[in-house]
Amino acid sequence: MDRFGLVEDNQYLVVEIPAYESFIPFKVKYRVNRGYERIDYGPIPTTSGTSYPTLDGGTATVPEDGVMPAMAYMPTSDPIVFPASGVGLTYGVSDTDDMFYISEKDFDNRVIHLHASFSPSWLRIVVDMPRSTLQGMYQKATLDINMGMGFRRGGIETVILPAVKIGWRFANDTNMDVYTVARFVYGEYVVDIVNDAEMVFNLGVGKVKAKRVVLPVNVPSYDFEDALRKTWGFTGFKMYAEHEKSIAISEYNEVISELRR
Amino acid sequence: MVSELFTVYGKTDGTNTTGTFALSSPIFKGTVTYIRIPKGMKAKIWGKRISGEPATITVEMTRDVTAGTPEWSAIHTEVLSSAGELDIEKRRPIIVESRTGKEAIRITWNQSTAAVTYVEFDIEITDE
Repeated sequence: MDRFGLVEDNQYLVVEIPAYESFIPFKVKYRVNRGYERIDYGPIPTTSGTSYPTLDGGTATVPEDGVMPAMAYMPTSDPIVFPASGVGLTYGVSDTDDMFYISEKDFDNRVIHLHASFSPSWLRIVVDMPRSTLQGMYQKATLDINMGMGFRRGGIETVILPAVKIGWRFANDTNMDVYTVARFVYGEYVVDIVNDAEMVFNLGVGKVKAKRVVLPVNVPSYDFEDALRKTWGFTGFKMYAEHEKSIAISEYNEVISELRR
Repeated sequence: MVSELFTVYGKTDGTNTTGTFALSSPIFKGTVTYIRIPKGMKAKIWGKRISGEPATITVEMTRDVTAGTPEWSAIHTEVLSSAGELDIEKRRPIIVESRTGKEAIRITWNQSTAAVTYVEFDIEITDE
């Protein structure tokens, strides 16, 4: 990896999908935005007048664009996305309302590796993948941002796959209406899915060095599955343990023969 | 590591000999009279600047700011004994840990004669 925590050209990126007990191994062919990895996005796009529930059972209204109200949290049904207009982009992106969305019709061979950080860094953060689908799980319980676990603070690393719409949610467990800032470091990678069963296995069990990122996908959903199937025709290679090599290789060969690309 | 360092500013009202500072900061909108600490995190006070007329400045904490009448207890005091300026930066900060998410800190003043005194406190909210 480089100084940004991004994958270098010709290295591997393994994206794990817990809901499907699967992974997608990518070979990064090259990074489109080399040298321009940083985005100082600016305030999180909360809108003045929007009401959010609060962690203590009330409601709070956003007093000014970009402010996260005291004790407020964004429910699953009301996530935010980062409009391209926040960085002055008005065209040339798959969705101007969500600058990180990649349509599989535009690019079926690109993924975005994203390191997001937010200020104030105590804000709770959850990424729903797909958007508006609760993904936090503990055993059989679902977790949400207004509970005592199942969120991060400060920042988050993820990979955005084509056709997958994601939602960002925040919570502020202080009594201050805080001004927010979002910063991103990203790599827009042109990738190939690894199509050698032996290499897929070695990447899956960690015998070959790769950057591993676990997607916040703990609950199977039609939208997520549909996005992956229409892009590549599968939902990833099943995870196997090292002693299951022969079963894995045989299955991987079958899956590879049916891959869309 | 999660860490956010910010400065809060306050001013006595000039008419009361005791009171609680209404604090402002570039990091939040408006003013607050206390700072609630997120559960599992700590507030660390690294720097204190007090200027203006004489005052005793006290940092107080409560374990439950959601109580009808929170119980505040003094955890640190600085005295500006004559008109001027105190600029205190310690290598060891004042630390208040939030175990329940209901802990909060505030800053109060006490003066023998009501007058205008300014405070600036550097506060870090961190998980370490």
